Amino acid sequence: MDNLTYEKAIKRLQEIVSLLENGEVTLEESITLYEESAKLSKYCSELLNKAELKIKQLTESQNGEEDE
Amino acid sequence: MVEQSVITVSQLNRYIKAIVEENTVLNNVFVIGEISNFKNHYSSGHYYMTLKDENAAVNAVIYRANAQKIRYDLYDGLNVLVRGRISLYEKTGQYQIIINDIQPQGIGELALAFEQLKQKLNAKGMFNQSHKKPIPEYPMRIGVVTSATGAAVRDITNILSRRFPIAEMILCPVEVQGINAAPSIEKAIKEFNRQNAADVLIVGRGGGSIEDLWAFNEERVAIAVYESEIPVISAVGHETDFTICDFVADVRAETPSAAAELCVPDKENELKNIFALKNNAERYLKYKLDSEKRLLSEIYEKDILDSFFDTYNTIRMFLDLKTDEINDAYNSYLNSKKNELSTILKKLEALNPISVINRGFAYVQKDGKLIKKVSDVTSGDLIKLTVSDGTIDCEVK
Repeated sequence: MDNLTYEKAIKRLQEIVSLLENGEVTLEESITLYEESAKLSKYCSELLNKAELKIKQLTESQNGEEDE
Repeated sequence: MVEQSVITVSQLNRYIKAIVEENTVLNNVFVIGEISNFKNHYSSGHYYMTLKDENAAVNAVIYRANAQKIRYDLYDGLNVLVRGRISLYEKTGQYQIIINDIQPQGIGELALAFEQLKQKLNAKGMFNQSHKKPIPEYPMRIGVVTSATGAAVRDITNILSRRFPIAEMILCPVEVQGINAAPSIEKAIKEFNRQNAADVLIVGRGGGSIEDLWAFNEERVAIAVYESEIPVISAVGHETDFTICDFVADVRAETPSAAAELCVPDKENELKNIFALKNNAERYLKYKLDSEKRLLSEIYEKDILDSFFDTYNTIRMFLDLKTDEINDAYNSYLNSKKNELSTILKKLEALNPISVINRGFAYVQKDGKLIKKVSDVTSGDLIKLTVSDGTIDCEVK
């Protein structure tokens, strides 16, 4: 899960909740999904709370063509 | 007689030209008039036209160096104020105004240039809604094309830090005003695209006069924005400033701060959303558990046992019914057999020798054998008579 992007994590979390919501999964699956959702929500919250905006400058890449 | 000097046409025109060009008034004139017969001489880059009013007309020219500085297109019917000098074209003897500056009348030149470019790009379909790309929901790389030192970059940095700090801001510092601004902005947008270095671009600057913002009204910037594969949010000046860049961009933000706001989701909302999702997951799991439990208890308490007893009772009733039937059948069989038996018994009764004896007869045995004839015995034999209540031993004489 460590390499999961925030977007992928939050989308998966939304997917799990709707799977649980429509109730067509078995009890065992529900429990597994719920465990995954708990991990995902923790992961997403931590990403947001711990992150600090990274700022960098666009550098012209070495193989850039001269256009003027 | 004073001899009148004779001169050539060339000499005449050169002489008049010299007089005209020496005249300090004619060296710097301001003239208003309407453009007609406008001609853009593409190979030389000079503009030729006639300036006229109701009663008169004069030729005018704008040489290439000055023509290039004009930000709007000249066209017939446009009322202009020109500043220039008067000269004479020796070949035709016609005098003309050599224009240094030209300004539209009744409308600012920048406003005119803006309107003209707007109409041109609109006609090309460059403002079409169908061409606009959506801003990604969770952009992780936010490209910023603005001045490295302006208020805009500071505002954008603050807002991105607060709202969506998991993203990365990639700044490409550019000049945002002056002669180099438009090429610099154009180059930055192209460079971001060439490197595919961002998920969304914010292109803009803080507020200023229309001259300060002018780079964002230039065609080369508009084309770069239009051709950008990366979605562009235009963020130029204040709410009231509209630039060509705004019209071409995928989204117009009123200010650079607003651009940063609408570019990324808000951390606080995201956290609330995650919390709500987490709660929902818990709630739905609890529903599931409850409904499974309910199902189980229904099985135990009701459904299965009830149906078991239902079945049991049905079978019992069936069995009871059948038992009765079997009993009835058995009893009637038994009765018929009993009747048969008593008939036989009665017949037997009739044949029973005892009953004959009971009527006073006796039967005779010798050595356990029945005696039926006189010849069966001789004198002196011991015989036994059986009567109703016993036997009598006798001797034959």
